[in-house]
Amino acid sequence: MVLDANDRDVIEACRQGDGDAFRLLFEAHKDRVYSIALRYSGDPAAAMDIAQDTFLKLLSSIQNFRGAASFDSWLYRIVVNACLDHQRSGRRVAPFLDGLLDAVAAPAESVLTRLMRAEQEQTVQEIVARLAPEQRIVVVLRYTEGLSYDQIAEIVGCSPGTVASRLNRAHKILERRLAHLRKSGGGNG
Amino acid sequence: MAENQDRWIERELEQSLRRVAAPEELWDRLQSPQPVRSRVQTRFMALATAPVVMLVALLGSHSANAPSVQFRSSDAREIQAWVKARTGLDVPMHAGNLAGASVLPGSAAEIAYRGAGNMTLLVSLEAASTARNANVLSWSTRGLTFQLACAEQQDLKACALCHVGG
Repeated sequence: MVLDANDRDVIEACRQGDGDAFRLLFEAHKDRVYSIALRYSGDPAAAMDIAQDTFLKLLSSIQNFRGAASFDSWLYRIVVNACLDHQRSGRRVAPFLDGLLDAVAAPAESVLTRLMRAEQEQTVQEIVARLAPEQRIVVVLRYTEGLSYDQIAEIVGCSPGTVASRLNRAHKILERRLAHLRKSGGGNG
Repeated sequence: MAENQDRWIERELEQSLRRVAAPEELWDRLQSPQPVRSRVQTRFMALATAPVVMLVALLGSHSANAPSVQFRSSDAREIQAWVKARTGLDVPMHAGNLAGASVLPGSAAEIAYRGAGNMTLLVSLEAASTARNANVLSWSTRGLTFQLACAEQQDLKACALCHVGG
């Protein structure tokens, strides 16, 4: 679901305490919020906690949203802060097996091919989950959301140059740690 | 060569970190928020539970329709101004079944609501405990910690969605 022209009306209704409006906002943004949380934490249970915190914070602070910035940027900042808070609180970041389980359950194609692809993706996700938080959040915003350096800089609160630097460092770390995937024929899309 | 390497890792990341669909249970979690428990929270749960127990006990001492408060008002702006003048806390308020407010030691305030929910919102500085139990929902925003408590767990579930904004 995409909200555009009606966004402002929905947000205003939400500020007035309209539960249906909040449901609309939730439906429009739930995949984005959950995906960032999942890709950052690497753990579906942690992602649910982060997404829950994000939407509760959205609900509790939507009175303060004045529309000067875009709603998307504002929401991104909430979910990014929830991710970083989750990390700071010492909650466990764990790898997950969902990808493998989905692959086994999926019909068609070669199960072996799917398994290998799922395993490869899981490896990448695990390595990403080990990056330093400030590098990891930049990687997630870049590759899960496809945001530009300028957008990431605005959300994270640093300069575009810092974003580029963090991404560059993350790329180098990931290339080194994932080199075996390339040698084994991975990374061809 | 370096450019090719960048493209390889970028393709790998785009594929592996792509967006996924949120589980259907997420909406249910929002309607009935579950405690988010960390190792740190678990370690200090015994200490952190004390103020929550006090809060729930405080609720139990209230009558359903006329909670005991220092400042009795149903006007959100009046209550907000009264609390701010005495504690410095700028508490975002929604209109609702407000009964009034009281100030507590340590720059904290208690917002009371009338009606079947017998609900109390405890507002304090960020450093305060955010421990939870089945009757209490806690969250932090704008440097403040909020603890929403209902005498009945069902009331908390029913009220959380609208009243979590304080």
